[in-house]
Amino acid sequence: MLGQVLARGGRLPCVDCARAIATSSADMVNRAAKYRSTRDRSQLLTYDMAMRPHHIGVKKAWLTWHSQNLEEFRQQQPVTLTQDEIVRRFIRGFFPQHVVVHGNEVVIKRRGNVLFVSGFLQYSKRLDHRRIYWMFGFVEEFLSLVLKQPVKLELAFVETEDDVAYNYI
Amino acid sequence: MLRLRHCLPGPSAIRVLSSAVASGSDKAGAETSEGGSSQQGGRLPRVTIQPAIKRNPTDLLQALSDTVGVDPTAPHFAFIDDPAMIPSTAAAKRHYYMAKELGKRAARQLAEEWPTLFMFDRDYPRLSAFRPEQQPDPLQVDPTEENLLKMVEQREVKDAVMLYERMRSENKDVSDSAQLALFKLVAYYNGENVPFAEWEEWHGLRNYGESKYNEWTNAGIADLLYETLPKTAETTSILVAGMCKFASAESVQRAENLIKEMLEKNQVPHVEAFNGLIAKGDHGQWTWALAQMKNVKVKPNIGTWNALLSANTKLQSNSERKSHLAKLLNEMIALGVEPSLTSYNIVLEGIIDTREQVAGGTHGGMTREEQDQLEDALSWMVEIVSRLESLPQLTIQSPECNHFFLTAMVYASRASNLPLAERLVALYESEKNLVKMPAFTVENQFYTRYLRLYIERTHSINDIEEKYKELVPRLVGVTKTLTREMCEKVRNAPKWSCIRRVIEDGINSRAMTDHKQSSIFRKILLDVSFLNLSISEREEYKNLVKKLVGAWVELSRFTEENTKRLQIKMFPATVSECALMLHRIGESDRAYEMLETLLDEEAKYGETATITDQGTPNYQSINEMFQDALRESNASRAAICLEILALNTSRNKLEPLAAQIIERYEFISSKNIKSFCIL
Repeated sequence: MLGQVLARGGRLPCVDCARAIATSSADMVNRAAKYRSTRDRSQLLTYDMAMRPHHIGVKKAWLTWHSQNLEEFRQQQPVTLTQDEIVRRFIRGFFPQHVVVHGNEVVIKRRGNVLFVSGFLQYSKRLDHRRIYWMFGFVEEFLSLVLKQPVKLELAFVETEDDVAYNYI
Repeated sequence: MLRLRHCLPGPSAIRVLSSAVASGSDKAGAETSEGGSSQQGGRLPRVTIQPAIKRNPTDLLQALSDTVGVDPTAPHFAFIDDPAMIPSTAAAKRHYYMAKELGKRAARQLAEEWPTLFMFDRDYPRLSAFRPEQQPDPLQVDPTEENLLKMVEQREVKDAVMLYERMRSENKDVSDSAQLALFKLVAYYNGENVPFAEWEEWHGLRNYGESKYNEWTNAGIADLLYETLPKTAETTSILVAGMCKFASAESVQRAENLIKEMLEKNQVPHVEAFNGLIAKGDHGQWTWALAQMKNVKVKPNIGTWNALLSANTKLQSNSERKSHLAKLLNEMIALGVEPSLTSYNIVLEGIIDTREQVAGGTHGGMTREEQDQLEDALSWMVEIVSRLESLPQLTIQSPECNHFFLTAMVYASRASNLPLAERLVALYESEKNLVKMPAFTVENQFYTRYLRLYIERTHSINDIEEKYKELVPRLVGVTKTLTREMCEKVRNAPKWSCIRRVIEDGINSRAMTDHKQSSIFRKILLDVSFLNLSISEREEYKNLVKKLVGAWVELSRFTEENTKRLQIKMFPATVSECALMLHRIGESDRAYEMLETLLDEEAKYGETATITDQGTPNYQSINEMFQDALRESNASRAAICLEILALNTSRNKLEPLAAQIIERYEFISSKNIKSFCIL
């Protein structure tokens, strides 16, 4: 932009105004939620990651399901957002050995007054069933007590993260 | 309708529509009236919308449930719906259920200890269910009557007693009503905390927790409270009922004396006091109690009848016991008292006397006397089940009601009476039955008995497979006995889908760590004709064999010091059979690698041994591999087989094999046959 101004023989703006000018080249490509490919095709993509943002609602669904974005239903949008963040952080922090793709694909669904947490976990080194059941019980109760509504986990297990891979780029 | 008016071409079409609507008006809840004038006047049919049918809040859910039905193959709702996480055995169900519940209890404990960390208070109205509060410490809390009553209400027996004692030591006044409330609680639980069986919130502990039976504590807190309270009919009856609930010979005698004292004072004991004495007293005591009930005109309730039935089961004579039970039941029905399931359970348990060791001839593992008793029990059961089937609803009267189904199923199973067992299952699963057995414990036993009986009495392997898949592992936990019975069936009538399921369930229930059971698995798999399987079935067969062999090898390789306790060494027969299975699925290299371990001394002896030095390899397995090696003209493999056989079989079995090699290759002179055999 600066080049264009100078080329037209225009005057440079004052110092204060210069702050508002971006001198880097304008790049209109939308890069959000699109993954860079690697030379050795080692970047794992799940189905959700492989689909583009404009495919939401077409080829893939949302990671959180609630009615707060609908007209006349926006009583507690911020609360819903906060709840989502609490759930995601807690799941990531409580199952660090088991989450796949860094716990980014935990789906939160609301049916009635119940909040369901869906997604995949991996076996990790050794799958201790009793430990997993204890953790599930703890998480369900802990999140229920925090959010003041019943929380249920619907997490399924895969052997390794590779099992959720849709593509490698 | 407006849209239809525009869409339809003309009056004739409207007439068709109106007649269709009129014919279906009852169903659709709409009425139409045309009056036949549409043709002349062009009037449109008039539609009246009926008012909405009033429905209960759960009707929609009920309709959905009826439409979807129950998926018997799905796990219990308490378990994680993932194949790797679904428990197969009753023990696994117990462990997982308890683990989950203890996890919940840990979270609850955190919230009780640090409530400020859980203050994401956006709920309106505030929900106290999500704000658990710590139980007050009786040594710290204010010694007030209000706190005492709160503890009594929450049934914290020991805490309430502790607080009461503290209040007395600090000379705080306690009103009679508060003392009475505490006395009721203490007498009902004998001064102990509430037993696990009465826990409401934590189902796991309620079902699995074991509470020891305790006898009445003489001169305990209940007796002390009784001394301080006025001796009314109510308080004395409470004490009597408590003494009989936690009966000892001494407490029952004291209970009788207390009733006598009440009668002397012209007080009328409550029916619960009489019920207790009838149930726990001897013949003289309960007949006396009945006579007194008549005298003081205390009306019996269902508890009285059940107590009488229980008392009659103590009679020594079998014939006397039966006639008394019959008379009692008839009298109940004549008086319009419908026997509860508990009553029927007591009757059934009373007919067969397990205490008596009856001498006499045996038939099918039972004495003649036991057989007669079983026949009696069955004829009673048929009558009882017919009566229950005719009732509009089976309701719960006491916590023991569900025991009827298990007792009845045990008898049906002992008598191998499948039709009766199926009637019981149908009755239990019917909508009119509101009495449910606790899952994983009593219900598991009920369905296990039923399934084993079904397997025993059914010939079609397809029917058995269907029933097995319907009940296992959701309702029936896999056991060694069940697996063995299923293995017997599939050996007699091989069906690959059933074999696969039984063996996979066996793997999940760790049956393969049992030498005998794993041997049966191998025999079943070796009996399967691999070539007769379809392509997909062959893949399944291969995967199953690889999984099994891999598991047995892995179990044998726990030779490290810290894992030694997990090691299960392979027998030579195991190795040879595994090798044959691998050979059949085309994994010949791996099969011969396994066979060679039989020739390796280090694999048999020493600290790192993976094979036991007991037993011999399976001759048929090695021989089959030997023949295959000859057909493939693979001399080295044939030699391995022969060497193994040479070390483990007799000379007369070896000579024909050696002759076969010579015939095949014709490179060993007849002179050398002897030396080859000696090898």
